[in-house]
Amino acid sequence: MTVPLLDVQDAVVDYHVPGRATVHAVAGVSISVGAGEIVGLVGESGCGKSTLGRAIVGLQKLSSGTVSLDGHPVAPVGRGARPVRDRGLQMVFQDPYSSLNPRRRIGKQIADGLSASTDPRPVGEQVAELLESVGLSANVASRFPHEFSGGQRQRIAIARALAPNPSVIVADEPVSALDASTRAQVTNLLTSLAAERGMGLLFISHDLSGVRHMADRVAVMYLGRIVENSPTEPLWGDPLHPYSEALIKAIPKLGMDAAAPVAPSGEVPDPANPPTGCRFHPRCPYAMDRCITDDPALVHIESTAEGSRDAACWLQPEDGPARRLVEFSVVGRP
Amino acid sequence: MSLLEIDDLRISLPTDGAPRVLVDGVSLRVNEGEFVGLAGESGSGKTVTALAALGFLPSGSTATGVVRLDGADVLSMSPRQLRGVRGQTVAMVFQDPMTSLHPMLSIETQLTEQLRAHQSISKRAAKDRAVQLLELVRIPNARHALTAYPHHFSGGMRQRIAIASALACDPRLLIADEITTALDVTVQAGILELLHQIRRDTGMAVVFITHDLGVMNVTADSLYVMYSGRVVEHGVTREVLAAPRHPYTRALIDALPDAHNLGEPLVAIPGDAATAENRPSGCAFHPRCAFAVDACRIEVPALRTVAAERELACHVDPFDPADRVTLLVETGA
Amino acid sequence: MSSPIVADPMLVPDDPSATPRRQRNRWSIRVRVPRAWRRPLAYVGVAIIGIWALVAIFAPIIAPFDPLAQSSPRFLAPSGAHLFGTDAVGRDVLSRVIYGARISLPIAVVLVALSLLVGGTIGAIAGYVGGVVDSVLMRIVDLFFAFPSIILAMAVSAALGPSLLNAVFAIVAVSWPSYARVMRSLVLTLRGSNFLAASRLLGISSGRALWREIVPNVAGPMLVLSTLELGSAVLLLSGLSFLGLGAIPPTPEWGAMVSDGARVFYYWWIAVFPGLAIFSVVIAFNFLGDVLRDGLDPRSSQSLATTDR
Repeated sequence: MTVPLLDVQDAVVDYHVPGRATVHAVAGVSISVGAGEIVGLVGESGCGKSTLGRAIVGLQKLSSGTVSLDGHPVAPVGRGARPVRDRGLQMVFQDPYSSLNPRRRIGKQIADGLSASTDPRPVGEQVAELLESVGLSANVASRFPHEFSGGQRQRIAIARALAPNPSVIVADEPVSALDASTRAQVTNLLTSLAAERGMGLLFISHDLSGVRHMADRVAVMYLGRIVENSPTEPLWGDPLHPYSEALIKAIPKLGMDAAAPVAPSGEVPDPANPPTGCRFHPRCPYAMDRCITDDPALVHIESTAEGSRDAACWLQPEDGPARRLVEFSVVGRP
Repeated sequence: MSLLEIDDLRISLPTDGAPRVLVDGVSLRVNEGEFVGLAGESGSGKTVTALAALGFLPSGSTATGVVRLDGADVLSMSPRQLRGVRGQTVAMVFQDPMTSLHPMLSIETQLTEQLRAHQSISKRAAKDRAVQLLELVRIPNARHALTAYPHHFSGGMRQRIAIASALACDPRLLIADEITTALDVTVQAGILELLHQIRRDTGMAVVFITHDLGVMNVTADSLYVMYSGRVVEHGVTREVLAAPRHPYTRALIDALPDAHNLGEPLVAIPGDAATAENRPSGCAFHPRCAFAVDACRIEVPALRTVAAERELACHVDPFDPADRVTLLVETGA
Repeated sequence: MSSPIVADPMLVPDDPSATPRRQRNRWSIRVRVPRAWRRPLAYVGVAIIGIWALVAIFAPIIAPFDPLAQSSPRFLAPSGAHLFGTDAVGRDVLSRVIYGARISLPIAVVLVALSLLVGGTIGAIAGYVGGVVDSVLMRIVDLFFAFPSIILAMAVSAALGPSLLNAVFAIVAVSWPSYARVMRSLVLTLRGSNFLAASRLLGISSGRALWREIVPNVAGPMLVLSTLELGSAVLLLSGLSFLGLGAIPPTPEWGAMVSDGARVFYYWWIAVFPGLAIFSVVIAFNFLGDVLRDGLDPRSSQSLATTDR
């Protein structure tokens, strides 16, 4: 097993609100991204995926756990300049309108990432190359962000993130704020860049359909935990965790025979007050007694051609054999 | 007679130069109990069209055409008549659940106010009806929920309460403008289930506006695809989305991540959507259309019936299933 | 096999259906006010300040008489020879008002510059560093705000002794808190912005990021605040001089002149003309501030300078 480029172990991020219980926004997450691998991190509002993304790159302090890039630990961003080797871990943000400084020309903002460059060519040339690699013309470097559309600004943000020649990019909902046709453009861009550069990409999103299209593997997050981590197609065809199944069933689909989307029962609990045992048990159609008291860990369930399948569910025995959820279809439940 | 009939609606805003046309000759029909979808990107005019059904027109705009709600022309109603219609015959729910309810009023106040404005019933009766409405939209502990305020509820629940508020006087038509766009997918599924259930229980019709074609596919019976203030295609939703005949509809579908596109890069529509300010001549989509010919630049294509239940506004009709040439065009592209 | 990256509208020149974006901004300080934004008041403001600036510069040439010397009998009403009349000592009021521009205008600018420097720095530190430092600094600001400004200015000025220089110190001491509050609030908002985070991720140090990312974004609002505060500065200075704590006679400072004239208000011209001068300058700066507020938003089409070199 090769050493993953990005390796997150047991990450925990707590929010302390005075007067209320501590909120474990991220409650023990382990995830890794290999070279050239695209990992989708999906989940709904409040699951902690954005917090996790920020904690991974160092914009948010981890309460415990480690983040390693290429074997060496990554420190949170502090007072001084970020160490050069940490700069190999970059981020693309969700909102294209606030991730670029409105008062600086975009060429200058991209050039910020070239400060540690060993490339002997003049900065202007390197910036031009970066702009072209994201599908923009080199001569727009002297323009200001407001002269571009949302999709173009995201490309600029990507160009900026590419400047320090990163090994891993964490993209936090990079296309959610764009309209449908622009989404396609920017998603394609990220995918091809990852492939061309052998770069790892952690693609955080609430849109499972979008992730299915481009990710090699998908990690599903619920209330601060990863409940399933699986190669994409096996996850879609045969989810191991009931929440993954619920998510997939809730997606409205195209096609003449599309079934009506099904909503899981109940609501997402307050993260400050998660359920006992397995966090999903109050909404799980297959919950057993054990689920109310014991919290399952994310363990390897089975290996497929595309990679290992992990799930955190008492239905799935560690190291297999994997149980198909349809075996447990519950008759009579509303 | 349809519940809602819009005939050749044209809404324009005066400007320094030529008037800015927001809706350019839109016609549509909603029958009792029917879910009609309006699909399109921002700038397509779908919201302006739907608001016209309630008699809401952008301030300063002029409107021509007919908007007949239950036989009566909404556009020629007096404000007093409109007040009687809104909430009673037709109601609306909006996109943002965070701002759709009054933050300072209790749920009870918001619901009962509505009821007592339209019907002369006692406070006690209004309160009971309010509880009934909350139960209808599956808010747990309905009676207790009356005493709560909007900020106590999540986005999905607020949207349900907004729907309850809209349903208060049993409207025959509900305008749902992107009501699930801001919600998580599981929450969205719940709201869509709710709409279907309400239809089963009350026979209410819905004009469902969204840019999300997946949602449209599982919700609307009949679909109008709008581009730049005009209807470009209309038909049975699933048929339109499975076999689109307008290049724009086709392009919208192709841009979606979907089982059909696995492994292939997503196809994006080149250029930017036409806005009311710079609508191209002739067919508004022609600058971005792979099949445009000269006629497309000159003449606005009329919406005409091209099949049993399909209307299309296109000079070229490149995806006509009866036309074998299109197969060659497709494979060559 | 077609490239997965679809052609970008940016690469297509003059794409008519491209999203209408604002004109390309140049690194210039020209204010191009498009039709829709025309504000005649703004031009009035700029014109007034411009005229006073010229007056101040060319005072020796314009002024008919020596502002400090007696040139005619006292208390002459406005006439052909003395357009603004003469004061209690027989000096030409017009010449004194003209020369007064040389004092009031530059000093007002200095006042604002110093207050901006002191207040802006303190506010930026409070906002950027946060925590205890922020709390302490803001309590000090609150302390200063608790005093009515003119009283505090009087106290400081009286303690230091009446002179123009001391009046400047006093006014700065009183004015800096407004700048600090606004700066802190701006910095706090910007501190959470994603472009700052991106900059830090790329390896820019905290200090450099403060300068490169935050300062350009506060410059606009702070400039607007300054122009509006200029009016207050002029008034404060005039007020102190009026009270005898600022300019010492025979310095032709407008406030001092109003003070002298108020004592002999039967001879109205001695106080009214300098008073009008103060009024015109304060209003002009307010008008200018309004224009700048609109002009400095880079998202509007008449944007002003940015700070990349």
